[in-house]
Amino acid sequence: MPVIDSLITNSTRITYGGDNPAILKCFATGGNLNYIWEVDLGDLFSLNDEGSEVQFTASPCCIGEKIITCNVSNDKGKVSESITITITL
Amino acid sequence: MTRLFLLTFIGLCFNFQASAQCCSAGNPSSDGGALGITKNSLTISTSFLHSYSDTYFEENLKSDWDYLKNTHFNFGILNLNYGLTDKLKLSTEFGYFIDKSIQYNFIDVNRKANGLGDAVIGLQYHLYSNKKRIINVAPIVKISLPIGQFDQMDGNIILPIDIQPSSGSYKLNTSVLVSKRFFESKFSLIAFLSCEFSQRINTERTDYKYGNLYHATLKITHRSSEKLNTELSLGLQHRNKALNKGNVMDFTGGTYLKLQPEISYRLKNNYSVNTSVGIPIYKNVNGIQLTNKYTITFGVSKNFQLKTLKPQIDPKML
Repeated sequence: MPVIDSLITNSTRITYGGDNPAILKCFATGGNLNYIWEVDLGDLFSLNDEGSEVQFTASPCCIGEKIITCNVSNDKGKVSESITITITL
Repeated sequence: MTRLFLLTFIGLCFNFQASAQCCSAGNPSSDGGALGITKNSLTISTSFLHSYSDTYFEENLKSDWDYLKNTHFNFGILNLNYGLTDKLKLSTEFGYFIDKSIQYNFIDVNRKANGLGDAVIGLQYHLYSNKKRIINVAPIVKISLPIGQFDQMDGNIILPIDIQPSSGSYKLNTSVLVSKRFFESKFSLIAFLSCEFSQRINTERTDYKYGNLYHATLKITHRSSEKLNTELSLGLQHRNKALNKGNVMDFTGGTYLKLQPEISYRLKNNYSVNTSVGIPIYKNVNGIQLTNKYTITFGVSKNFQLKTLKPQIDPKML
């Protein structure tokens, strides 16, 4: 079973737009890991081949709290961890 | 043939009310179709819609905000209309996004999605007909079913709801179609009013409700020849603000006014083709939003008059 040791970000509060993204990193162990990221509104972009690091930005439509979830899976199971980032004016 | 091609290519559209504001997913909403289908008459039509958006507006003024470079989609739709009686028409609609894409200004990423959109089932009732004044009225009820994909991924990212092919939401659309013709005139008028109400999406990932959508369209049609119709419509669209986790999203919704010329041409064997272009002439959005620049539609339809099946064996013999 994979284990998420931590899910961190450089900023939990960002302004809308593409200039100052939040960088998120998911640290997990368990071997042969597969990372899937999700958020209902806003844009996530993968930053490394492994998929453990992403950047998050949003257009003005998405002002408010957004919950970003990192799902980590391998052949033994799946675990998830979430973090809240606030998009401001 | 070249002339026909040019005419159909240049023409503009009424069948779809497409806008590319933030967080609009699912099928572009379509109109109520034509009035006057007869019992056992089946019309199958397919349309292709291209929509392109690249201009930000802040309220009713162009903005230099540049988060997205552009968005566009290519959308195919299959419609079936069947006359249950001379007054009651059943319609179904299946939409498919061939390509739905977003390009960003600040990162070299072209995010794409494709797949089945929503399915729509509707009933149109020919409520009122005044033969002296040549006025017809038909209310329409439609229900959208989110049968398509709502969890499509790009690499290891689940795409946000505004680019998913399906809206993820059940929708109720009520509308009324009023047509008025004039004696010994080649002109006719069609008015179309509609309201669309979306069910709140409430999943583990998403708590979202699209704003109510209101349309009012006035179309003038000119029967230019036995086979050719030229049309011009003016469509007013207003969408209320959306809700996310119960909170009003201030930068969603707005008002659009769109001009849409259309040409339709009747071919042999009950085939017809139509084409249209939609150009927004006024936009007033809430906050800052990317707005639609144009839509182009091309459609083909065929009408069948299905015969009532009669028993081949005399029931008295059984």
